[in-house]
Amino acid sequence: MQKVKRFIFSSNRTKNDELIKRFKKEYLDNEAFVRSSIYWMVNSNSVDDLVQETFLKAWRGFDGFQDNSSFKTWIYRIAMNVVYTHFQKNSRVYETLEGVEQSDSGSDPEISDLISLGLMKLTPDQRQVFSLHYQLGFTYREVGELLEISEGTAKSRANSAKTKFVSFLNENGFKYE
Amino acid sequence: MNDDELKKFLRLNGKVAERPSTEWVEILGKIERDHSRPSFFDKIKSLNFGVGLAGVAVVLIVGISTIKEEKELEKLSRVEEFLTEDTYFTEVEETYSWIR
Repeated sequence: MQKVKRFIFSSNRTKNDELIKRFKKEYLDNEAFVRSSIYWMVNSNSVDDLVQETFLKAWRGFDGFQDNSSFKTWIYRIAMNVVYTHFQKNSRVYETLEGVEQSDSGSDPEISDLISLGLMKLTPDQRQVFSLHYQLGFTYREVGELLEISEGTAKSRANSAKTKFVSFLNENGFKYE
Repeated sequence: MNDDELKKFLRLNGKVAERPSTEWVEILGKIERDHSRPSFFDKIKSLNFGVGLAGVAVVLIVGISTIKEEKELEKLSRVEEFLTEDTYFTEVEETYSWIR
């Protein structure tokens, strides 16, 4: 971190200390959200790479960030642009679900893998709403604001995603008790 | 499965997105790679270098031609000098000066 800060200080003479302080604060406040958003969208080993790319794009574009807008919304859109570009470049991998990370944690491997596979069955747009609402806990209104869609659209998209996801669970013999 | 049940079920997934300890080092590496990659302006600079090189070549060719021309002129002037100021006839004995 110190090295990165030193580099940013030395290589960006136009960006003053105040701007750097603001960026650091805003980024660190939203880092977990950015990482989780990318994680639930991609669910592969590419997550770290995409988070880093989001950081760099956000830093480079921070000069143009308007004070009156939400940093969370702004960086979320950058992150999703990075994710969608990643999908375009790796469409074949995602079509065959090869990108789904296999479970390596102490959690129930069957459930973790089932959730990962179920998520990858959703379209990217559905996955976005699904993960924001059901996994990250945003309300439909907040999801609508983040995605620039109406609350109603967010709700209907989340419902269709849920139906698809639950159908996938049922097809794979999972019964919720 | 209602919404709350779905949320509860999703929480059974123990996987979490964690920042790797090497993240900042990797970001720094990307920044440095970006800086070492030739930018548009660097490419223009290379182009300028090429144009400059071509310019130098033109100057050299013109220069060489000029030098060649000068050598030719020098040769001609020597001939002229020889023809107009024939030292042989001025420095030799007077007996031969009748030729003048």
